Amino acid sequence: MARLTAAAIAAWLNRPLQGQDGIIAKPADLSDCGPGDLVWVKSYTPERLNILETQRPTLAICDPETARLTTVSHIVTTNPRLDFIKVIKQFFWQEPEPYIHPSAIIEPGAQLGVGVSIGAYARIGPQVVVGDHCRIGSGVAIEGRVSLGRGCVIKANSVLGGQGFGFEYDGDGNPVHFPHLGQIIIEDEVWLGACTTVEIATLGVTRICRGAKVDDLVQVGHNVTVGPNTLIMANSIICGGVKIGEGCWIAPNSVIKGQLRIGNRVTVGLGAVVLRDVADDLVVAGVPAKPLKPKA
Amino acid sequence: MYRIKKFDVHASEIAEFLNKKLQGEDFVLKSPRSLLTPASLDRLPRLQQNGEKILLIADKPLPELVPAGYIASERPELDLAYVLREFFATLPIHRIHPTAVISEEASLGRNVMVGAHTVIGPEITIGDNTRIFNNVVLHGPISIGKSCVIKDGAVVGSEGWSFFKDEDGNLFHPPQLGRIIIADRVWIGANSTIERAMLDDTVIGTDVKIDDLVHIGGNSAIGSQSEITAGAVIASNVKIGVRVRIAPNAVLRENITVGDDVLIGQGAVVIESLAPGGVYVGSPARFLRKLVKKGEENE
Repeated sequence: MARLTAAAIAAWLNRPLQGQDGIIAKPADLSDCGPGDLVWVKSYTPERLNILETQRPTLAICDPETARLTTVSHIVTTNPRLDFIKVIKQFFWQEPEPYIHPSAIIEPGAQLGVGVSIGAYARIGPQVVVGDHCRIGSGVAIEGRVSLGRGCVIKANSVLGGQGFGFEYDGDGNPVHFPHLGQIIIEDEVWLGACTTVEIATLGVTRICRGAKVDDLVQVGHNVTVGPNTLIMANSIICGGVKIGEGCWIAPNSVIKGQLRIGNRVTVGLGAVVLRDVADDLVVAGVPAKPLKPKA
Repeated sequence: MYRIKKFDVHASEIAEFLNKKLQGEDFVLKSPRSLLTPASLDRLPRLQQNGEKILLIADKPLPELVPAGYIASERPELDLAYVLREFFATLPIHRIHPTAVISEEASLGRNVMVGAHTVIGPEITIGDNTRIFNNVVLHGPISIGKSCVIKDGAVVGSEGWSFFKDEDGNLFHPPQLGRIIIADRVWIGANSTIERAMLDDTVIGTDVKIDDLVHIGGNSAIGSQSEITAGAVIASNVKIGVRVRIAPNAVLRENITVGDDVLIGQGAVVIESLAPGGVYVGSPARFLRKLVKKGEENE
């Protein structure tokens, strides 16, 4: 591979390179950089400028204010982190080749798209449909009527399609299990973390919409809808029947009570216990969760 | 992971091992359940019902009980643990289960145990005497120290949680190129997850004990001798000092630091950095009092 230069990065980003050209060896974090490195600066602070001036990385992708003051070669952008990531993806990162491990168990009847990767000891049940270019980690179990869209990522040891936790007491006080006969629809570009569980719906659909990302250790209950581009962070519990709108941010360890409606672009704070419906654009936090202020 | 050895042990042997005096008669313990300490007195009625002889290890004699044997000890629970380890417990033979999938590019030290259906990817080094149980998934690059324990179902080194919106509002995942460095004698509980960061290292210090169902985000650092109990969530880029204890279901937001010798209460929601030496509780977490260490109570 030809040597990667600062000018090549600037040309690929379609932005001008300010300062002299140089050869880039690797991307690095600002706190630990030196000559030959590519770094990014989120916004101007005197400390960050000082690091740039003393450590002398070869190229910085930075905001306009830092760019005005620094003597290091740089590319100016309004969102340095995004452009830095785009550069890493283009020049330093190779997507793993699609690979299905021989120990993966794919039942007859399961439908796999093209370019699917499946890790060791994963089990794909007979009624499962997996879209193109999905990456399924080791030890994942997918059971029942589950369909995955294109480009989904499911990290190791997650369980999709287990029977939901739905019980009704009979006359003697014994809990009787509600047989869950529904399905799970996971749309395109969805991310599910490690050790996460998604329950199958009672009769309808448990749906995770396009672009939603779910972190590790999350429980998504039966009949839940997670809207497009919503983020659900680690260890959160979404109880049965909750409908979450688009572009929401559910912080770690939050709990959302069953059957609630969460609007669009809602932020739920760390460890919140949500017991009431939440309207659009609100920030809620605390136990029980109360609105803080409308999102700017 | 321990199994009970099938040996008869004399009470005098136990006293000799602890380097303490046995008061009362010498007898043969049929099982470790005949050992009693002040913390396990709720077992007493069942033992008496069965007519079993009791060996009491305690800091002072108990008024309601005349045991067959008595050993005075300042740290009864610790001595009990030593006795169990010495006389009654046996570790499984170190071995690698035939169904484990281990990359050729991984490097395992001596006496490493790997359980069934565990997957160890490339670019992983594992130190001597480390025990990895069943269904664990390790994604490189990771370095694991000596004598660590990784319990069943843990996922270490999967790609970090890091998304941004691009110009069209779509969420976008950057490559995660950082490493995970786990020092010696670290314990990682069942179904816990530890993530890698974009460029920096996620570091777990020596003697750190992590319970089941804990999540640790990328670029975080946990200082040595810290304890993190079940259900706690530590977001990305959290720097935790040494000897910090985090109670069940506490949650720490990203980009904060926690000082040394801090105790964080159950279900606490920590949204800002914590100074050393305090007890913090509640949602959002607030300073409750100074942490009093053993031996400093009188000050």
